[in-house]
Amino acid sequence: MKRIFGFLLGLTLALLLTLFAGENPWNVFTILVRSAFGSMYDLGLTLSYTTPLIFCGLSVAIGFHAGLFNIGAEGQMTMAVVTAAAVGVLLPDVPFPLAPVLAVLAALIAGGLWGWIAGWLRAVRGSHEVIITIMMNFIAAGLAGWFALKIIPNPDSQNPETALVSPNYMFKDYDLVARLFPDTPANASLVFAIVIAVLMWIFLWKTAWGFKLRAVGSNPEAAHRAGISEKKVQIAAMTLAGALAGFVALSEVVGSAGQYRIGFSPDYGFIGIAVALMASNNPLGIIVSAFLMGALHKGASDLDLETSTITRDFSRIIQALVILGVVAQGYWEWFKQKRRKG
Amino acid sequence: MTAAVQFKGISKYFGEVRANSDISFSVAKGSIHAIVGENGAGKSTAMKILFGMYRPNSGEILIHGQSVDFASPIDAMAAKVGMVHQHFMLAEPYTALDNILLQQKGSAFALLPRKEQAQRINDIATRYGFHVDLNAKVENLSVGEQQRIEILKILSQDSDILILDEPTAVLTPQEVQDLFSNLRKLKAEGKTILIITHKLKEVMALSDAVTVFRSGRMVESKKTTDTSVEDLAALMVGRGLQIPEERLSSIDISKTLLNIENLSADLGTHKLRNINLKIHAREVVGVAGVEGNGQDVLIRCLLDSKSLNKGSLSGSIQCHGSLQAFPEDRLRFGVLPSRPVYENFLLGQEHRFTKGLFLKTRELIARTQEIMKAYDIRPHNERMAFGKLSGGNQQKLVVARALTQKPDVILAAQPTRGVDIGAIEFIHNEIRKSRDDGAGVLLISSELDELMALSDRIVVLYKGQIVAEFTRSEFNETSLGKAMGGGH
Repeated sequence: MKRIFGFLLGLTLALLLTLFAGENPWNVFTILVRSAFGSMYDLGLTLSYTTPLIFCGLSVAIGFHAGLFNIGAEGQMTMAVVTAAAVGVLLPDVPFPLAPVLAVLAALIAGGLWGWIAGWLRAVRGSHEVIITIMMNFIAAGLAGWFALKIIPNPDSQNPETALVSPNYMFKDYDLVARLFPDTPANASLVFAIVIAVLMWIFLWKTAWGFKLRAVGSNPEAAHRAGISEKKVQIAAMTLAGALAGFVALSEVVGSAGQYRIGFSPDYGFIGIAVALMASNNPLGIIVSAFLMGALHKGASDLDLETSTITRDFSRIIQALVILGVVAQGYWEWFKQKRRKG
Repeated sequence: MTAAVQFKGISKYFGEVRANSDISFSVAKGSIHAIVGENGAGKSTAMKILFGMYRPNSGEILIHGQSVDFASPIDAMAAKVGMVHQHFMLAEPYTALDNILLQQKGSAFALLPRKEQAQRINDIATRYGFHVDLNAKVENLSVGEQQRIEILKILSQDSDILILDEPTAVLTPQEVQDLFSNLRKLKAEGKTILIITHKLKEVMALSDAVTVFRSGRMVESKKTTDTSVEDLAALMVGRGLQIPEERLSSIDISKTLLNIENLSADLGTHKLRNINLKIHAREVVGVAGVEGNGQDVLIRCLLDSKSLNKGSLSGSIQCHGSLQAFPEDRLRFGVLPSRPVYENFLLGQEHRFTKGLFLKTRELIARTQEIMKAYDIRPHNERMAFGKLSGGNQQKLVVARALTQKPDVILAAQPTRGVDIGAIEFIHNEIRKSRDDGAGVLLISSELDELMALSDRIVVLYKGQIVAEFTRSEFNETSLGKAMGGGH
């Protein structure tokens, strides 16, 4: 969490902005804190935002470690969630322990495939992964919408969402985390997210594959000379990134909603970029930065009710300023280093 | 008369490395002043300070008697100081004129008066003899022409003080003569020229005064007429020149380790034509040549032939045994500058430090520490970012990484580029040790001294062909130099 100063700077600036709306920044801050952590219910909601942010942050981070900018976590996640929902709706008779495993596996494959396409195009065709993943986000949104509205729509609702998966697919009664935070979408997938982050840390720093991936990200030409195939690494990294984003299906479909709802994500995939940056792409740091960003998101939701002039869209402003603050700190460190050199 | 440029006690550190310490000398207005010294002696650093690319840690620079403090090259250019870098700073897909205009002052939105400017630049070019087709794209021009564009860039801004960093390294002998006569014309017009070189004959032929650098210090500054090539050589090295070690013939002719037959390859700008080369056990074969005569193609063929266009490649390369290389440009091809030293030691030999899926980190770190001690790589800190090591220490690690894997064939490309003298000797001895242990070495270098010190045979590459071959008893600078310039 080296970038905590950038985070605080961005948050402070955002709070000062509320002066222009005639609010007391301290007052706004206390509302934010209370709304994010004030009760078990509030904390539960904050944690329910944290889980997908951890997965998306990890997805973006593994791309960065391989020298790739994955802006496609949103699309990879969307494909995964809709796939998990489709499996759960179309194969209702799979028994319990197997069902969620099957749904999540299908989700990982769908997300991984979405990442693989971008990685393959980058490695083999030389297309820039930023452009590709942005476009793949739109394709994913279109496909998912088509599924939710035309193929497996929810017959009992006017909302744009898929039908509910069969109950065999969900943790529900087995979920101790959910029992801790009743009436909130918080669920055991948070524990999974933390485990996955730790596994990714081990992968990156303790395995030869992780080293090769980081070597390509650090200097592709030297890695190439050392006999590491940068193409394979790029494809693998994007596939892993897609699969990591795909884990959101675990928290969304298996853990809480039991369906794919258009608009379920407040741009988790994009906030994931800020989460990864704030943690300098360190998987363990991502757990913390995802929690902070989750808290901000939840905190801002009560501003609507408790202040007269600020709406929940203010969370976007806070996020933007926090990202700017984090980037500014990164730039400042780079600048200091450069000045020291000459 | 006030000097055009005066260095007063300039010091510059890079981390723990002292690139310049307490440099003081002055350059007379309207003179050609040579800066000489071995690789890594601090010449380029001092000139980059003068051009505002680096800020000194202490000391000051006076220009025409005025103290200056350049924060960037923009300030230096405003003070009429211009620099031609060793590696040209040109936008290759654009025309010569575009490249020159790019440097002009003025509002970003002003229309470029291209015609008048072209006329003006043409006038300057004619006046000083730097002819170049202004409408030609830079990528289609020769190195000599590209250099003229760089010089025109400076002249078109009316600069008084020109810094040239190793301008002759890439030129043919004829181009060198042209450049020198043009530089004399510039001098006659009252321009002051600083020229970095390590070719002493050029110093004697061209300069009015000379300053010698050694290990970051200024060791001598005097009129060229008061010195001699031998004098300067001794000052540069700081000791008598080493007599090349006498080699008793221990080459194992019966054992060919690397066999290159009829190799031709085309890399666009650079080509190789019909190369035949055999390297035996316990043999060092040197490849001499001005850079850009096919060395890069040869390296690509040996290390990375898959990346070459199949159609352009013919002939065969047989390598009997394992091959390890010191890359010609270590920062680009050899290392991960932002990563710690031990990860750089790991690069390329992951299989040796893996158990199952996991890295044997403890063993890796222990081994790295051992190597850093044995090779005296300082500071002894295996967790330091590799890029923060000095050039010599960086190269020692690259050499150690390759040699500790006990390769049968060693490709040593520019093994001591940008490396301090102590490290040069060390690296040379390590190469000799590997050779004595039975390895065959292909040594590609632009340093004649290095080639003559290490090689059993030297072949000369010129325009992609081997134009001459010398055995150890035939080595001498004049005939090697001639062959490198294309003359036989």
